[in-house]
Amino acid sequence: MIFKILLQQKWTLILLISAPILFIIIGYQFIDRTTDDIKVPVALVDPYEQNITEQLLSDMSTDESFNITHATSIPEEVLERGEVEAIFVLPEDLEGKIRAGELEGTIQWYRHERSVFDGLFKEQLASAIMTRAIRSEAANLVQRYQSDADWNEIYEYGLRYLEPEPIFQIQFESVQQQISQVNHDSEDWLLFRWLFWIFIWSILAFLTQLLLNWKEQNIFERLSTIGHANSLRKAWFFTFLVLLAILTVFTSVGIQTLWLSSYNWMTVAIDVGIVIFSLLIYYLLSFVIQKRETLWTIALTYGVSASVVFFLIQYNLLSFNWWFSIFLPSWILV
Amino acid sequence: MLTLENITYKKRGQTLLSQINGEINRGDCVTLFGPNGAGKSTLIKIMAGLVKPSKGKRSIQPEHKNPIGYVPQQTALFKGLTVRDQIKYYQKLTKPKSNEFIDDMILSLGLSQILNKRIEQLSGGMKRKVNLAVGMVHQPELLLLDEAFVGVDLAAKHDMLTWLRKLNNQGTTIVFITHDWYVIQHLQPTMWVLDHGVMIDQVEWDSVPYLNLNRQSQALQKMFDVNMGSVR
Ligand SMILES: Nc1ncnc2c1ncn2[C@@H]1O[C@H](COP(=O)(O)OP(=O)(O)OP(=O)(O)O)[C@@H](O)[C@H]1O
Ligand SMILES: [Mg+2]
Repeated sequence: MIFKILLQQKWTLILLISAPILFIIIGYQFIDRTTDDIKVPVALVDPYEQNITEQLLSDMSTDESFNITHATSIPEEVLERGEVEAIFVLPEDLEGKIRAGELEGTIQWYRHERSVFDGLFKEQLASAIMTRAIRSEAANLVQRYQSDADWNEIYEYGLRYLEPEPIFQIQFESVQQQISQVNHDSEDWLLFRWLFWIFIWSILAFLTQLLLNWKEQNIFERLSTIGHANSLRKAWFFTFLVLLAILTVFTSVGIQTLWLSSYNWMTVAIDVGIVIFSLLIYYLLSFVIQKRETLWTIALTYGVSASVVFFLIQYNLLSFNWWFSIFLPSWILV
Repeated sequence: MLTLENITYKKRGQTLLSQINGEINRGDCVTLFGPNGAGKSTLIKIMAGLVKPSKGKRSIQPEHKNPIGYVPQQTALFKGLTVRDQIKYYQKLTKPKSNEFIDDMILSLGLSQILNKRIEQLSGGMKRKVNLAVGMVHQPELLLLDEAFVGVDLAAKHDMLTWLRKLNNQGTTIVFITHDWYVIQHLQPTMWVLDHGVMIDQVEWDSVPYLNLNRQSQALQKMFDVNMGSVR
């Protein structure tokens, strides 16, 4: 019976119940679109501005999957901020070294603990250098026995003279780099959690109208004369408490799984906490508020100011202060 | 059953009721009579225990749990619920002794045809009937009706009054507010005459024709004169 009474605002409830699906579908679309044009960012550093660097780049078929920054000095701060996955530093006189076959330990490879796909770039770079090394070795061999042969000509056709099996091992000297905790990819999912809160906050305002309507219609008066002053209010509170908790668990797990491909129960608990406190705020307001206009004014003011604080902290324009926790969405950033 | 001693009620510096005394016994039928703004609704809320008086004491000696049936001036019903479900909801909350009473009430008030209709599908008069029925589901000992008959047609009013008279004869105490002389004539109550928050007189129905209120309030006297023609 109580559910029939609470079901008065059908569309609000339908919207509420579809929230997890809605958020996960939108989130999925969002992710899908962004992964399409993601390229692995790497930096290729050549402090000596050699011609061979350009040639190596054109040898590699890396355009589709890598976003290569070509620099002349090591942009370490870029690596620290996580803007590139790795930095490769070419040695002096690379061409000479290739010709001479002295390639041991010559390329420095900086990466951080979260670098994943830079290994692919390493393979590409290695194979480009290796091809050149093989060709020059071939030219060297031929010239040793046939000193009148043209080195460059042999080099060009080197691959035909020699089995293309690796002769040199290119040493990649791996330098682990500590990067700071800020992960710019995570902003989107924080934004989604904020969006979910705004959504729930607005829906709660509609649901609180039910309480105000009953108050206006003297239903609470009627109930209190039969000794049930608060039973309907409590039924409202606990029904939506359970419903919102379940919906939030699903949505939070969904959003986290989409963005981080795993979920953390602590984060789920924070999301549920935010929603339950929102419900509590409205529940307490329903005792003091008489008019619908007052409800909407408070809902709007709090919603906007809490969001502003959320974004100010998010973009580091405001440092976190303990009293910001009265603005529920700021908990997302804890 | 219900005793009021020196009830005074103030709100925002205004005295809405002052020094109201009265006693209502089991089986009594009392009407609070007076012009608009006299304080009738406020007094009946104090009787119901919904409003605490600023001064004075209201005491009730009930025989059972949930002795009060309060029917507010506005129709206090759940939107979107059928008449049947409204009644069921209060039935669940109060767990009345007999369903016979409820069946009898539905029949007497002529609600059988509209049991499956939702509140917003009902006319104003029908809502009034449901409003009355919902307040009586638990078979209260003391029934407090605040203008329960507004906008109800004569036939429906007759159904309601016949039912209330039957209950009153069976021992239910009734206090009601109305501006409708037809209702008063039908129930023949003791009249508590109120004006400006003051109790001017308490008269038995039999002595109403001899009531002279000219000294206290001309407005009240006019209300009686207009209506009394049929009685005098
Ligand atoms: N919430 C309130 N705040 C302040 N004054 C109020 C409030 N409710 C009622 N009053 C005042 O109390 C007085 C008595 O109101 P009440 O509703 O009891 O009158 P009434 O006798 O029932 O009138 P009516 O016949 O029009 O229903 C009126 O003067 C009214 O203006
Ligand atoms: Mg009134």
